[in-house]
Amino acid sequence: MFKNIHLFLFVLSMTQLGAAPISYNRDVRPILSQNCFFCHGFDKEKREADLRLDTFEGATAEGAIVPGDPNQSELIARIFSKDADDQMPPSDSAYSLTKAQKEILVQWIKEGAEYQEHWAYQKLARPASPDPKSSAIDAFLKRTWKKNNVDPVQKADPRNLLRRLSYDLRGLPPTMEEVASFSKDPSAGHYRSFQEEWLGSTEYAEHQGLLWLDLVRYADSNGMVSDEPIIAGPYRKYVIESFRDNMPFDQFTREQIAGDLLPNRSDRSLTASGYNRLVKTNCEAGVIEKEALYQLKGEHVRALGTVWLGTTTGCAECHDHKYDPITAKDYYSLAAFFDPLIEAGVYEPGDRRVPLHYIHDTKEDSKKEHALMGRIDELRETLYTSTIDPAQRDAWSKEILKNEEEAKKVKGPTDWLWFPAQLGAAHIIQGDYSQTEAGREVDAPTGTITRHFSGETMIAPVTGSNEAYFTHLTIDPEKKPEFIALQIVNGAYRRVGWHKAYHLTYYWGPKDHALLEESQPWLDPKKMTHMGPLPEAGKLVRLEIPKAKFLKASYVPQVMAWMQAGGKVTWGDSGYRTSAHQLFKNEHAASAYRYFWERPFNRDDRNDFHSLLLTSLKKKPADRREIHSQLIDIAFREAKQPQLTAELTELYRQVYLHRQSAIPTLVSKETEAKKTHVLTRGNFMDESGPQALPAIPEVFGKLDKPNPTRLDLANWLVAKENPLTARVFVNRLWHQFYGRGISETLEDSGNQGDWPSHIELLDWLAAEFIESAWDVQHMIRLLTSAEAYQLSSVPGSLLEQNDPTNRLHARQGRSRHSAEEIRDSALLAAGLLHKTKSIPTASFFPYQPDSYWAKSNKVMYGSRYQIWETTQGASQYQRSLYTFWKRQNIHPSMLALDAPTRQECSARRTITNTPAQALALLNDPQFVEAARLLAARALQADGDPIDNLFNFVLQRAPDTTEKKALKELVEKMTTRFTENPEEATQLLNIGQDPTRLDDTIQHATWTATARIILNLHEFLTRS
Amino acid sequence: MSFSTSSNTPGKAPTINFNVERSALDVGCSRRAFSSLLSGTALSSLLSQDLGASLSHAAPKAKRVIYLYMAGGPSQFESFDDKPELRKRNGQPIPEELTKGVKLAFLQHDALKCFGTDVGFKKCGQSGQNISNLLPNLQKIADDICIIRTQQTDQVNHDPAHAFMNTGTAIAGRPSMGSWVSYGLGSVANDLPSFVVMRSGPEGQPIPQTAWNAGFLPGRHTGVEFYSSGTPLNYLSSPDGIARSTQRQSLDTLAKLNNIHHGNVTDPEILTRLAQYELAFKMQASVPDLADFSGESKTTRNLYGLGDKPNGTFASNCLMARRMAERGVRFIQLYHSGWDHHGNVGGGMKSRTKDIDQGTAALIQDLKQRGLLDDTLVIWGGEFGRTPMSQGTGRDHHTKSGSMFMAGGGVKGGITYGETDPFGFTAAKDPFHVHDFHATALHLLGVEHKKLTYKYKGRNFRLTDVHGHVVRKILA
Repeated sequence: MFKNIHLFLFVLSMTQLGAAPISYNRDVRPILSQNCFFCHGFDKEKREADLRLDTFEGATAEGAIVPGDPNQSELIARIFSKDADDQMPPSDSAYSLTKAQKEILVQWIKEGAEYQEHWAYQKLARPASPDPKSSAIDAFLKRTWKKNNVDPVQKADPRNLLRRLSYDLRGLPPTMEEVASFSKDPSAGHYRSFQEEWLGSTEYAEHQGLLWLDLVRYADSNGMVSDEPIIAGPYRKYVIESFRDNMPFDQFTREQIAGDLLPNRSDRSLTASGYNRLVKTNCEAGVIEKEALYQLKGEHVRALGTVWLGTTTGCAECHDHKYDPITAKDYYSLAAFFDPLIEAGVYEPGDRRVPLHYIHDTKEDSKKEHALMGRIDELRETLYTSTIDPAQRDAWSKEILKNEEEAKKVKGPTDWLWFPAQLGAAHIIQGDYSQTEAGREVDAPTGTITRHFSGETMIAPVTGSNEAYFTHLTIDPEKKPEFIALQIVNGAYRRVGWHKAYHLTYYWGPKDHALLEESQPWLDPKKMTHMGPLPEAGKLVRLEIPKAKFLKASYVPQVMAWMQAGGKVTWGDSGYRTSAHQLFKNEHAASAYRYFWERPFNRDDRNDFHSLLLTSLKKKPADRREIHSQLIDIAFREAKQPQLTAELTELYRQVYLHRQSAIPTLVSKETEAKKTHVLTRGNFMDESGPQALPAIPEVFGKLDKPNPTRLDLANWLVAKENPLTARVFVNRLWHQFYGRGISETLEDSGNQGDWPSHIELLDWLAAEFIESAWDVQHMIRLLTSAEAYQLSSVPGSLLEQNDPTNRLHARQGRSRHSAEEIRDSALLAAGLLHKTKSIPTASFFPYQPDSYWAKSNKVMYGSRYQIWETTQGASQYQRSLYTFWKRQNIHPSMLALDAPTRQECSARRTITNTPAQALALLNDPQFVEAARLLAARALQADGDPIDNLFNFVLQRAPDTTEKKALKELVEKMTTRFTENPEEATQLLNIGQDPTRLDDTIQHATWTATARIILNLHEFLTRS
Repeated sequence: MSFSTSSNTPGKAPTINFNVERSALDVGCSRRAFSSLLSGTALSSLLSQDLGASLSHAAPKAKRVIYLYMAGGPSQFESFDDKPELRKRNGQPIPEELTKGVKLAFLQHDALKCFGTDVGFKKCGQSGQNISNLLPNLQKIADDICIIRTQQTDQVNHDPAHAFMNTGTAIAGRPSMGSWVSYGLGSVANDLPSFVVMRSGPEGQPIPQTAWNAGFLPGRHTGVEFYSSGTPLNYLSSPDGIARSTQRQSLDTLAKLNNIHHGNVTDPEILTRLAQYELAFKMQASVPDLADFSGESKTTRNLYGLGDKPNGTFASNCLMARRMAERGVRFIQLYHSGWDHHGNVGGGMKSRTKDIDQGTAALIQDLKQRGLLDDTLVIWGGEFGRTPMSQGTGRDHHTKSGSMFMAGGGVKGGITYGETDPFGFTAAKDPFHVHDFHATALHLLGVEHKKLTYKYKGRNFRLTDVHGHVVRKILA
């Protein structure tokens, strides 16, 4: 596509600017790594001709390289060979060397072919600053400017500088008053006072937190197939609070990787350990448990690589790393640290990814939970470890099977209490009610339907043999509802989904009621049966839905919902009438649910829980899988200790109810370790390789402990001798504040990564970070205080020629703001931004095109379990980082503006410039509404509205040409809207906020004008 | 005008000064230069890596792809791979030596029994290709298509298999085939995206939207989803109350202001942005135009069985695809869902084939009569095949065999490639692995698959990973 563009000027790269001797690390390694190591590198499996070129010993052993003598070096002969058979890299490979590269290799061999250790793996030592009198950052940069004969640009003007600082620290612009005050007094002291005010503010924490959330791939959904909601909001809050409180990075690391293993673990550190659970998980039927578990290991190891080690560890899943000293064994050894984590390979759809941790409001509530859980653990210990007499057990087994035969003979139906008046520890249960002795009391407001529901308690799902549903209720004669209803919900995958066709409603009361006409996600007027008048009040009544009245249903009924329009109702026992045999089966289903409570479980087995005991008993002992025998023992123990069993069930119920007001969050928990093997080519079906035990990559040495844990791993990551963590972290910070990394490849500090532009500066900063006790704010203060930070971002023509990629940082970087910064700034300018007092754990749902999720539902993808319900009120205008992050369908405006899907860890966002961005910024109702409010603000404030618009959005006054252009637009818009007043009304109707000025034409005119201001390049760009 | 730009490439890419004539930035400039700039990204990333993509090995046979993606895994035994042996041994165990060591999904713990279909097959056309009677319209164009019976994959479940089929790996987050093609060949549509996705079919089973994501490639190579009815694209319409002329005037003012700013700070990104806003404005007209079938002849509409506007069906998407092909869209992917027949595979296949038979055949005929089939590669297939063994009345996912077909774009029509064993369990001859499929498709587009690379996290990634062979036997 560039064929018609013919003129390219290649400017000498930085490498060639200096006339220094050849450096292996800087000049040679990239060439060898890119072109040779794939076949002649670290990976012994792939090594060709038994030749390795990544070590001096390997390269010189057989004369491939003869130090000092390029003419005798086979390598040189090969790279210059014209013979297709001899030529290296092979002519049919994807690799080739340029003339300049060949000459570098010749020169390097001539100079002695000295190898150096890769910079990132070298022991970290703080280099001396070239000028101890000035800031080290400036001293290092100045040295390279001098060496390269480059002059830095001017300092940025106060407005640009303050805007930059404000965006970099908080992701938001300063106010115009702040800019005015700083313009008046742009002194260092004044600058410092802004720094100090902003560092540690909530806005600062939110902005810094956002970047971390990209890195660890934080999201609100599990990321695969049906992409269901997970509960990670408290983890996000933890991250933000940690930045706010300036938690030392070593502690931040420890708490996330091993917060559950810390001796002084707390709600906070447990929430932090949710980091390990941000993995993508699958719940697709047919997934192979073992394969999925190995994939999870990959998630853990790749994340470690990107977030802390700046190393592409994932490469070693199938083979030794081609370029870096990470072996396949290292990969599986790192994975083995995560073996004891409780996680399932294949979750059941609808599972919120247990285990969860529950955060209570008060210490008393936490204590109570702790006490209940302690008692549960004790009981379980007694109940499930009691010794078993095999003879007794076998006799009991026979007895059960005999009883089942008896049950089959019983004629006539009997009641199965599916949902007792006091709901038990159900898998899903939602709605407001007070639990009383008599049942669940609901005192409902009139004019709306109040509804609560429950599904999948510890019993069997309803099979075809039910003959009627029933419920009990007592209506308060003083406060009768308008109608009451019972819903049988055919949960696809045992979860109350969005799919209203699955909600079958049976109601008692007047035959027609307006509320029943309303279509809700959980109410379909077409799937409804009138059962009769409202039952008599003041006494316990039993209502039945006989089989003859059943509405046609696909899927198995999984959920029951109780509804009422106003009134006060106490709901009692509910269930279905069934055969004695079914009743018998149901009664014997509970053991599996009870024992595996809060344990994630492979979907296939979990689906069978309701029949698993009886099928296990019927199998010949030889045919039983482990779970079958295990379950028989469990059920037998329970049968022998009915009191303990009942007590345990009651405790589950209590802890469940106790948690109703608590906030759940993903957590790391440990159990007996799974086994990791070193797989051959990553094939999980071949576990013939040795078992991998937890260990750090061999190149970094060994942990001085016999059975190291995740906590030991975390400690090693932030140990002084770890050469990578601090370098990787400060490199990312540099990118954030200077527009590009010192090494551009933030996620790869390895052999294939970008050679750092200022290696000593990088090391100095890394050392400073460690010695400051991992003080993040200290580093940010340092970075933003340097003179270089404060330079203008506009390159002079000479600088642009000499250093177009800004490797020397003789000017600041400039790039488009992130999706979040743009939306937040627009809302701020409009006066709409809802700043958070306490950091929310729930995500919000901003405006989104209906078709985006709805169509994904309708056709096939995505949001089976969730409807997009736009958040109402002030919460709609929260900062963008609190947006519900559905990995497969992230908000379309954010997607257009390059926000990552967070399926994988990402250390930086690629910034693009596309028409989709223009469409989003022009047409997304969020921006149109912001323009409307911005216009109102500009018109209502003192002064010229054009000046006001510029001040609110750009914190500067317009110049005369700008003003002229806008005045022309205002005139045209006024004419247009005067002639087409309905268009003015339509435009002003966009968005929830009710602010509308009396003069519709004027307001619309200025809305259209403000909309243009919110699309200005200057508004969208950090300069 | 001279732009300098930086490299987005990790490593030491040379720095480049890039001279381009002023006219290239004005609307109405040469189509190629315009679109390469304007469908683009930050100038910096546009230049640095796309320059690496001068990859043509020879004159390409195909210039664009229409990929009819049957999501869920269509059964080959009811469509393109007739196996009398299965009928004969219906209900009997399948030979164990076939199934040993092969990974299965739902049948992991079950007895494996042969399952013959009662769907009939017919030898069709001059070529005598054997095609199921469920596909009467495709039977008529048998001589135009190349049936492949030995599709093989590594992944046995939907999510990873979709990822594998689309991106060449099961790990989420890599670029999809359409993104690679868009990246490698660039765009020739001056007011449409280069990679468009549409969906149809029954609701229910999700597939990951990441199937058309650009992964680590620049975001503009992500497949843009057009809805199959209603407004085709998110944020395409101007807000209520903003008329076309209002939008025009607004953008003129925006351009003026941005140009003033450019005068002060000389940032080439501003010029790119100006151009992107212009493109967006054009798309606001061109995309709705795409979805207006009223200009299509009655004969054409009858061929697809359609009225004058899109109706959300597969056939409707097929007509949209042809219209996009004419307008220069590089890669068009039409997903049709509902092929996951674990139960009642006979009934399920009857419904699904009815959904797609007419539209698919119409598309190929329509392209052919317009002379577009020669340089359009049409692909039909799912993420995997299904087992010759029964799962109740259905069939399980299967990695070792499956059927797909290709047509046009340099593919030999009227042939069948690959042969399965008498049970249809695995390839007896000529396996056609996903990587081979990718290599071959890229070859037809004039791209050497080993050379289409992108450096990310220190590695040169390819669509074919480290595998893939061009299957020459199917080349025309």
